[in-house]
Amino acid sequence: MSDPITQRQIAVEIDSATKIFESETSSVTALDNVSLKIRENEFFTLLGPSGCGKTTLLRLIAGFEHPTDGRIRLYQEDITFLPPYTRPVNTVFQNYALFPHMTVRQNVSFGLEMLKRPKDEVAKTVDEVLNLVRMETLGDRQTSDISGGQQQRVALARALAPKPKVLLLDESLSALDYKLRQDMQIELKRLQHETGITFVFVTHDQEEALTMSDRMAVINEGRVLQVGTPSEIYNFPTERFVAEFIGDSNFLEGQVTQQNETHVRVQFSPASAVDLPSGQTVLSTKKVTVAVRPEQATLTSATEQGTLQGVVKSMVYFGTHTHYVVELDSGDEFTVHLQNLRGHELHYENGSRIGVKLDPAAMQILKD
Amino acid sequence: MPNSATVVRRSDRGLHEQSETARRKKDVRKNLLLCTPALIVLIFAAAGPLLIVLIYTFLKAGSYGGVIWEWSWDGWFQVFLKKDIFDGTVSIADAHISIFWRSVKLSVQSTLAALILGFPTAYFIATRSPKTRNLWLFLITIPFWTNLLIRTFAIMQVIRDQGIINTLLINFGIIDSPIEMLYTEFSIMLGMAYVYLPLMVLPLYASIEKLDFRLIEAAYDLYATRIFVLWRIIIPLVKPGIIAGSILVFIPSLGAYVTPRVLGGGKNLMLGNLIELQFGQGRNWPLGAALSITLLVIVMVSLLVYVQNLQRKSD
Repeated sequence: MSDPITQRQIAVEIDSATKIFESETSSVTALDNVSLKIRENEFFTLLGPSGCGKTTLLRLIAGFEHPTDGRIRLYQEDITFLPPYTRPVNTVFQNYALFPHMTVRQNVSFGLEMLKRPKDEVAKTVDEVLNLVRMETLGDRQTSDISGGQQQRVALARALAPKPKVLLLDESLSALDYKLRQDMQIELKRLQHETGITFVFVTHDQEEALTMSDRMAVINEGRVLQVGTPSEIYNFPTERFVAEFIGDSNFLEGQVTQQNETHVRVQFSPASAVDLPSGQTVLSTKKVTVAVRPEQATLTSATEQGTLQGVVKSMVYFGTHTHYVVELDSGDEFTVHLQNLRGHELHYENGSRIGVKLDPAAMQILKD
Repeated sequence: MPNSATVVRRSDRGLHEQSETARRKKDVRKNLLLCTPALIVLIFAAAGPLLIVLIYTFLKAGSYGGVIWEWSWDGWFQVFLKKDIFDGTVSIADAHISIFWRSVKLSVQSTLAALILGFPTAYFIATRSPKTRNLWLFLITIPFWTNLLIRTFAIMQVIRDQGIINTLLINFGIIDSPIEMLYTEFSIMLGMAYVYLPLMVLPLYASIEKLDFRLIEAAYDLYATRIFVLWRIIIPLVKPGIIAGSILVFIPSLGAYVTPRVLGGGKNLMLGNLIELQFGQGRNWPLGAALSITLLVIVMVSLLVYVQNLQRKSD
């Protein structure tokens, strides 16, 4: 079965883009040789902590900034130094940036008017787009008279009205409260589906990125660390930062004692070793770090062979799960999330000696 | 469901508004006390004299200046009409009308000139870093430290026939004989625009500084070219500054005395000069007073028309 996304045309191509902000006193490298390919009709997320360069990357695509080095292409056309008003790309700004001296309708029609579309076409498109974001009844309101969630919809409508080839969303949901945000997440997916426009979404919220993206790029300190589907990123993080930033992870230091075509044996302690399926990464060193998701490990009796030995340090009940923190004999802490299945409750008291059982298929060797 | 929610919100707002108006009334009383000294000064130094001027317009002129306390319409009559001293025929005082016209025309022109020169300046200052902004603002206010008369004489040196501009142009061979600039209406307009330019720049700066520059980015993003960003986004949003600056330049221009006197060379009178003439050589205080009140009315009417026009455009 082939993945349809990989066969689509490339909408945006970032080709080794570097952006350095120079001032009299310092120079800051916001982006360091970033390359990315974003495909047509894809919901692509740029995920990273604040200050990681994701917004700078978005601004390069929008045309508000130009890269110090490298190229940006839109459907093969070089747009690196084109001004924003000539690019068929629109932005939904973090604080919406609605024009305060215009009504909702005037805001939405602004782009079309600037493109000198005929009046009746403008009116028709504005009606359509307002319908699309369910704001058709509030067209004549001033933008200051509507709620935050409604402003968000207007900002979306305004950016969608000119039918851009790519829609950029800059932390567009972060100003909304939790419930509204969840509604808008669903809404955004629906809009993307209905319009067929490529969405490039910037966020620092890993949950948002996982639930909404077709593919995502994890960015830190101006570099793209990993690109992939949410499940690839979650299940097969290649770097410690990715494993840490997205979801919770345990990190185990180990020695590679054996390596062949089928498996890699990693020794964590004299008593415990795990055979991991080979081919994940080419190992150059003997010492490796392995990431394990807390829900991918289980607890068992201390006597069981091949387990990591430790003592239960704390236990918190969460309803669907119980979170255990185990202090391993090596001194490291290891978190395990056990699912609570009725009739199969497992219970381990604080201070009791237990074994942590690892699943080789769910362990990921990290790049260093 | 949405209906009940709006009802609740509306009643909430009602309650809020009631307490708000009560609080505001209290504030007004408290703040009234703060402005009382200024009010007293205004009553004695502005309202009082203005009333006296108004009374003078209805009195008879004394032969050596001053007024005779006898009721007369002469002052007002002479503002717009004149009587031939030989045959007593009444005609329109065209000299006065042309001075009114010149005053309004030159004031509008100098306001426009100050706006066109001041807007880019204010925009430039507002987009500097906060530290350098203060330096630029300081530079803008420097002319205020120098006496108006001296600044006006300095302009004379720049634009007169043997002045800097003409000398340079002749030396570079661009013109053969000096361009006559001094003692023309143009020189008055230029002088007033220059003298009142800071009064335009400062309120414009205050408005532009508050401008949310993300809106400009949003407009660029929505295919607006620079000229449309200026016309559709920046100008509407900094309109309060444009109004304030224009009023601050227009009003003193209309009543200007020193600038037209020095740069107009006595042949291009403006209202301020005409009024001075009546209180001085003309020895016709009632006419001078009536002209002053006329100036006041012109200012008020112009402002009303101007502000209302702008308001209508923004709606």
